[in-house]
Amino acid sequence: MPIIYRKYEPPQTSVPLATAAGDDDASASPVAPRETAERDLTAIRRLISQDLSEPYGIYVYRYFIYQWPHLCFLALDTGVRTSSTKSLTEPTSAEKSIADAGTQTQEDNLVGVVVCKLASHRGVKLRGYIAMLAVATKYRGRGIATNLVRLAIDCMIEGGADEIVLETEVDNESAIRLYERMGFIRSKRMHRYYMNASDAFRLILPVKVESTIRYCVLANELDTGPRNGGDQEVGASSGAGDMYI
Amino acid sequence: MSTLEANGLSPMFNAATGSDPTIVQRPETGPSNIPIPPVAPNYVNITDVFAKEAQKIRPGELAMLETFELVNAINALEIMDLKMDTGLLDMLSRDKEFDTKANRAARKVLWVMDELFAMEMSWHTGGALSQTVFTCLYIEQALKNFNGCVSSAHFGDESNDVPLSSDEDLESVFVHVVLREFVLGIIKTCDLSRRRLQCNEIMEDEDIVTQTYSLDLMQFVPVSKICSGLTEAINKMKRLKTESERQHVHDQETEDLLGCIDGFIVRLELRILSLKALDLADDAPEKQIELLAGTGDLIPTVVSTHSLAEPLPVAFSIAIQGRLECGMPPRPKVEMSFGDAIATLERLINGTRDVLRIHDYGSLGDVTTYFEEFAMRRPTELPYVRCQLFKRFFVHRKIFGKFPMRDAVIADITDLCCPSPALFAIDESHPCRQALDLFLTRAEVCFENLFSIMCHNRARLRQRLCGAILDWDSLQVDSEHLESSVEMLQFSALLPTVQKSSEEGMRALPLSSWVYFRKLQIMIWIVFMGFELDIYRLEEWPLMLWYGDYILGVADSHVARIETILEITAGMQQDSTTHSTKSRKSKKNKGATSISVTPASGALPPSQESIIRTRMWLAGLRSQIGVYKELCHGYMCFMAALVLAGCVRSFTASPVDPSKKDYTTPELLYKLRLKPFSTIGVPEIPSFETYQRLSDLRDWQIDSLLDNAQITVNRARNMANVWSKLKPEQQINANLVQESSAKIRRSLTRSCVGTNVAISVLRQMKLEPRFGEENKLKLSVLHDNFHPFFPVLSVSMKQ
Repeated sequence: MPIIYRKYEPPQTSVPLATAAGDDDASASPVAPRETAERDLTAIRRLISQDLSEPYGIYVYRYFIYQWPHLCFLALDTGVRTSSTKSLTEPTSAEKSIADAGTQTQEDNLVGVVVCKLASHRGVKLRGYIAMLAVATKYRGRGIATNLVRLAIDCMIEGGADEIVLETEVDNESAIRLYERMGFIRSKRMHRYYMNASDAFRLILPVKVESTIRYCVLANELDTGPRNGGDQEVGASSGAGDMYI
Repeated sequence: MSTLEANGLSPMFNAATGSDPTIVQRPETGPSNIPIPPVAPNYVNITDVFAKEAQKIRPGELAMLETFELVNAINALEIMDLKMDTGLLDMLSRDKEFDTKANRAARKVLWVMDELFAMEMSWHTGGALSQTVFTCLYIEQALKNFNGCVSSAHFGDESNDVPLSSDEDLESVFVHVVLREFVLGIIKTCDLSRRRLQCNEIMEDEDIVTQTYSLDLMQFVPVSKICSGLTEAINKMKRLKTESERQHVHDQETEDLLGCIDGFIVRLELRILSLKALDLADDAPEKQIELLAGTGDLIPTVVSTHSLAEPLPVAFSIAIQGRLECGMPPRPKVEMSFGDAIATLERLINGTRDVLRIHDYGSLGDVTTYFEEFAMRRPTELPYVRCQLFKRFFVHRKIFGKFPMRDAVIADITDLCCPSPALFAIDESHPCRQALDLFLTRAEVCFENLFSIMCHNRARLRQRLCGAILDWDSLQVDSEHLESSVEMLQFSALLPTVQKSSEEGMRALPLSSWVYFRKLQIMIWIVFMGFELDIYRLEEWPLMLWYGDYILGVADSHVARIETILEITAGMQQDSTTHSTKSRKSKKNKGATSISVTPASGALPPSQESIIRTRMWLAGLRSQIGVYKELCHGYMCFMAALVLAGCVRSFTASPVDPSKKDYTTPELLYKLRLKPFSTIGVPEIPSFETYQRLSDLRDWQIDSLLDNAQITVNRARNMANVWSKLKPEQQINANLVQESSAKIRRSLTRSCVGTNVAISVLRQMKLEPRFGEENKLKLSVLHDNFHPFFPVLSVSMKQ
């Protein structure tokens, strides 16, 4: 079953829902854009939440995917026909190609996804963050996750990332191996980070020297956030109100 | 996510404390006290406006405030989603059918008590109350009915629907007397524990969740009231038992019933002792130890009667989460077996009793050593115990409420460097007095922070040490600046050394020496805790062992320097004593140089007793550093052999498969790994080129590396043996840690033995270069029973 990789793209049309709904020819009409956008999110969410002990709310997916749609990559099995009103365009090039997904739904043939963000970290460096990565169980062991992560990293580096970070469970040996093969190292351990009470490792891939510089940031310059804000890497309190990152 | 391709942000963060802005919480003291607004707000229906405005948003466009962060997204509720909406969970649950008023057999009541106890212990190990204690429907009903008066906390449907129990109806008594009093006892225990758990050393959501979701855990009900209820229940059970025994019925049913009654009595007694121990003021440690000992004594009977318990799982439900004021999604009950719960209780009791021993300190140095040993314990003490240690230690901003932190700083400086006692007694008019005060004030903050750090969980502890090290580095700059002033030189006079002339002698610089030592110690902890916490992958072991060896070498030289100065000072004091005696006797030697009379010109010499203490302290430190250093060196050789044989990738090689694109370089990884130390002035991080040069193994043979490894590990083992056999009189500051320190030292010996075994395995494999290309080795890191800083590599061939 050939796998293609696509960058997620949200629907661009500004046609309001009411207009699409008023179309007479149901079979020929495009899927309502808002529904499409949400349905894609639903498909992504379903895939990711399969293995989670506790699901993320839809707002988490919206937070990442709507703000950084260009950092969301999908792996699609072209051997599976979609149930949507419009079938997927067959890929014309090699297995690993990036193309616009347009407004098509990915629901039925989505087999892998990576969701990322790229933003300033404490105003001192540009940090890429791999928030979620999932591959359907039966598609594992085929390098799909590695390809997805590489696509995401390439894109974040192109966007100027100084470093890429993520968290993973300390017992998730295969995920840790995947990332460490790409050069990630464990920067710290986080006690009872996950819902199932297991610890997490923060993994960092230093891309530029800025990633290796230790900054002292005044406490009042820090963005507020919880301890496990995912991308909220905090060094440690110095006792003087400053934070080292 | 469970297997391979899975990682992600924590779904748990802050959700346990459920900061849902739509929730208005009832008044409550504690961390989540949000009072009800005095006037109800004016609500305006904006549905139409909202729908109209929503039409203007493009599909896929995210409408959010600039301040909307990931945390808000994670904490946002998603209504009507079965996995997200606890309200839905409540609606679909049939737990409301459970009748808390109904009579229950003694065995079932016993099970509910034990399960509730297990839930309490589960809470102590990090589960939220909503996933543990609050899942008990009897707890829910009692708290629902509770109106401030103990009698209102019953299992009836409504607060005025008090279920009556008649002595004739045993099963009713078991539920409405025994179980009820036990439930109230659990609630009050949680209330007291929760209050004792509030301190900066325990991380909310990470170590424990103290959120009560606005439920009042009978905060204002006196413990005596709960205890008298428990006592009445005990008396009732005792009467019942006596009556049953009088009837002389010896069938199995009666035997079981009597067994259950014994079980009830001991559980209720245990609850009373727990409550009293928790309620006792902190200034009565002896009484608390007595109560805790009593609690511990009851455990065997609790365990022996547990076999009579018959499960009643319907008495627990997670649907309660839908009825609590909490914004988190449904979460499973955090199960804990009865055996584990008992083990947790024992850890709580033993840990708390041990913490109470700090009041038996002989010197403030004993307390400092205790904290260091406490932090190294395996398993790490429970949050409650860690919290109690710091709370007992630091009372009203003073050590034990008596000594200012400055005393501990001065004691620590004195034990390490044995300065002139005049240093800390300079009068107001001394030109350095203000600067010294300022330094000591800063040192107090750093030192207090160190005590606080030692009470954190190990992962957090390392993280905080990474921050603390910068404060100590900055303190070192201050101390050097202070001690370089002319006025302070009287406390650091030029001391003649064997190697150098007096003009080029050494200066004691006690303040800077102390700060530098403490800083190096923190650096050593940070480096080696990386092994303990599995932060380094195997490819990084050679690098971090090399860096650890480097820091240990610096620390060893530094302690050796202090030792040299001490011996010069001691020698001069000896001269001085002899000289004084002779002077008194013969009135001669008037022309002796001042430097040989007083170790620090103008300053009083340290006492003989201080010198002996410091000598012992330094000898202990050098032993520790020596063992670490030898073992570290042995590990380095061992790892180098593995690298040379191609079984572990060289750190200086490309971090990725050569066929794939490189995103980073070994140099960047080197800098990132040593980032915690990158801003430290001294000792400076060696350059990557230096590391590259020194880690070049081309001129080495695998066999000679393994030989070296074995020799140094054996040497470390001998040193560890000697060190672990030190007699109490040969040690200082060890009054509180004799037993545990010996245990830690023995674990060092085990690390030596374990590594020796691994070396032997490698020898049998007849490693040679490129061995790893043809053979697959299985390398696993073993932690159990070994020294936390020196886990052992297990080596075997992959099948």
